[in-house]
Parts: sequence; C-alpha cells; structure tokens
Amino acid sequence: MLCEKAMELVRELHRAAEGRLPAFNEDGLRQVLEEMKALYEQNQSDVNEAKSGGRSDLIPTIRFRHCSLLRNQRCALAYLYDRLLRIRALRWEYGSVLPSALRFHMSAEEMEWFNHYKKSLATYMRSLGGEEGLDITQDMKPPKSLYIEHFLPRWKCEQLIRQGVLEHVLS
Amino acid sequence: MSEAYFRVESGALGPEENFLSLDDILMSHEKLPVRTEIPMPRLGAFFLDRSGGSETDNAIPQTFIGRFRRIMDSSQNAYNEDTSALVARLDEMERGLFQTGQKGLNDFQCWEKGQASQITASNLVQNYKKRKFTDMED
Repeated sequence: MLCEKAMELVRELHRAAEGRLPAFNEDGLRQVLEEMKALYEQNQSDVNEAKSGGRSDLIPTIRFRHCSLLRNQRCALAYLYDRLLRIRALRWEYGSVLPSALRFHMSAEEMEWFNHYKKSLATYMRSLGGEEGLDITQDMKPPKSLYIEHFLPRWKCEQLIRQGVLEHVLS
Repeated sequence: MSEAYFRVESGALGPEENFLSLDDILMSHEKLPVRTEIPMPRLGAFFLDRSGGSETDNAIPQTFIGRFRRIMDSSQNAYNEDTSALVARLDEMERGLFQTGQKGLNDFQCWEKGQASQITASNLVQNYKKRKFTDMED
C-alpha cells in the first residue's frame, strides 16, 4: 500500500511520549524517498506518453500517483520538522551539552542544526543584560514569592522599611 | 519530559488542517470504501476489483458504532482499574477517546466527593495571604 512507510514514521513519532526523541529512522526515510522516486519516474514516463502518445486515459493514474507523492512529502516533512522541535527543546531541558544517548539518536544534519541553534541562542543571550549577558535558560519559573531577600546594612534600609518598600524579615 | 517541546497543533478546530501537524496527518489517514468510476491503468495491486453491495456499504458505519459504544461503556465504567486490557486493541484515536471518557469519569467522581470545588491557590496568593495574617497579628 502506498505511503505506508511514511505513515509508519509519523506514527513512530506520535507514539513517542511528549518530547521524547526516538532514534533517527534513516532506513524508513530512505524507503519513503525511494517510493517517491519510483512514483515520480513512473509519472514522468506516463506524462510523456499521455502527451505524445495520446494516452489521456493515463491521466487519472498520473493524478493518483501525484497525490501519493504529496502525501509522502507531507509525512516526511512533518517527521523531520517535529524532530527538530524536539531537538530544540533538548537545548532548554539539558543545556548545551547533550547526553551521548541522545546524540546517537540524531542524524548528522540534526546535530548540525542543533549546533547552529545553540550558537544563535548564545549570541542572543550575550546581547542581553549588559556586560555578562543573561542566561535565559535558567530560572524559567517565576519565583514563589514576589519578595527577594537581601542583606543590607541597617543605615541603608531603615528608611525604606519605614516607608514600606522593604520588609524586615526575621529568621 | 519536555516543557519546551511545542508540537504543531492540530488544525481540527480551525478552517483547515495544519500541514505539519502529526495529529492531522493521522486523523486524515482513514480508509474509505470507494468505487473506481473510471479505470486507472498501470496501478497494479492497488486497485483490486471489489464489489460494493449494500451489505458492505453498511459494514464500516456499523463497525464504528460498535467500537465507539464499547469504548464509551468501558471508559465510563472502569474506575481506578488496570485498563491495559481494554485499550490494547484500540488505535490511537480510540485511545484518545478512551482517555477522555476516563477523565470524565474521574472528574465526576471528584465532584461527587465534593472535591470539585477544591482549587489550589497560586503560591503567590498563598504567600500574600500569610503575610497579611502576620501583619494583623502584629
């Protein structure tokens, strides 16, 4: 049945519980591309025959193969794109150095993409917060309390405590 | 795992599907009974001749109704049990349905026990309330 391998790729990813990155299915993707190549070549040949050989009865067949090609393309792209979304999430979950188990699950191109993403993110973070930059991958949840505790010399804060700007926290 | 993973959402509630949505691809992968109106040469095994009589015309809806009913029944009646046997032979969409049924059942049980109105206030609010109390005690 056409597009079966492509659907298998999609299902494999859909089944991988939220965000988990399964191993790159190189074999599966290759089979999808091979099917697409075969469909394309058959269509090329039939199109020529339909045009020059007057075989207009081939047109429904050509259209059917074209639909299959589009479906395969969609599945392959969705598979690759969803994997990139998961890989991007890894930067935020694990940091810039990934455990080797995860690295083995990525294709060479995906690794390259990850490295570019890391770089972009690092450049962006350096541009924030003045001199040292700002690591936005830390402290991603807001603090439990709006109040931050400091230690300040008494002469600095007595006024502010009076004014209700600061609160004197004992303990 | 990943709070940073934002999959492409299904376009099911919108005007059209999302091209890259895995959900939409799976959702649109149905097998429908069809009849070839015109011949399609050279497709070989993909179009074996099938006859469509009225018995076969109704088989699909009937099968769906039966399965749907069973999923509804089982999901609405299995409370705090091991449901692995019940979902073993369901496909992804059916499992989603089953989960929805279970959630409904659990929510209902919660409500019956009077736990439905139990909201957890956000930490910020809780801390604020605690502070107000200490102000008063002073």
